[in-house]
Amino acid sequence: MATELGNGFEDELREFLEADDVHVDADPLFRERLRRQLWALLLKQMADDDPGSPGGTL
Amino acid sequence: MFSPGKDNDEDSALPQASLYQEPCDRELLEGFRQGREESFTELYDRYFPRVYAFTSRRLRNRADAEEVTQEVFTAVFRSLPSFRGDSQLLTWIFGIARNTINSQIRREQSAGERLAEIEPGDVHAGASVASWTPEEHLELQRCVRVLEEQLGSVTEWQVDAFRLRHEQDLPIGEIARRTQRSGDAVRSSLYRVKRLLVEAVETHVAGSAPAPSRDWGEA
Repeated sequence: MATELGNGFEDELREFLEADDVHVDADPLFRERLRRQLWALLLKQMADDDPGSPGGTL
Repeated sequence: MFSPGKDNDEDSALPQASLYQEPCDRELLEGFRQGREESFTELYDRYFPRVYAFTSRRLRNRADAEEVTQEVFTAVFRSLPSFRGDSQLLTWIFGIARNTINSQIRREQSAGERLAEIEPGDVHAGASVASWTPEEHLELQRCVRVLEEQLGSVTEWQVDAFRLRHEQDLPIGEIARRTQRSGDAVRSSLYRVKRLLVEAVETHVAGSAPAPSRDWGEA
């Protein structure tokens, strides 16, 4: 897959894999807020996708 | 959920702590699909540092990095239920992050190009100033006052850069050389001045008192 997409893809993938070694301070409030927002979104999505659940659409 | 016997030698006396193995992505994915919040949280915690670091390095702006990180994870977790596992989860998340970052960069470039299209020569007076009514003159003075207030924080070199760009149509590199600033500083400054002008016009059209000028970048 990497050779099909060219050297740019490989460089970016390498950069992505090496990002673990790069210490970047994320705002902990942002990180936690995003986590809660995502989970709320997913709960709603699960409820919408499951018509049989109490929160689902019929 | 865990497979304690997966990689262990049954005959060795291993300390209790080393028997714990982190669940693999596949196990977390299964737990997530079953609606377990702890699986979702562990997946999120596992990939957040990498995604955030990657976007930060590519975008070099905290606000953009946060916005793009949010977009990436929203796309990831919305699509995870249908993730077939044809590739590794890490590679799949990387693909989403890469595409989202590139979309953001393209959006910024388009916005910059649109602003670059606003040239002083594009504004044509409908009639000679000499033929304006007193009310129109008063309106012009009001407009000039708003502009002066908005542009009060613009430094001399920024004015020079703006004129070099829009009067002489010089490239960024040449402007950087003449003003002895970096290319990024010149770009940022040009964008800032244009934004101030746009805000000044919008403020004047809205008829409200001019808002305090925001700090858009390097002065």
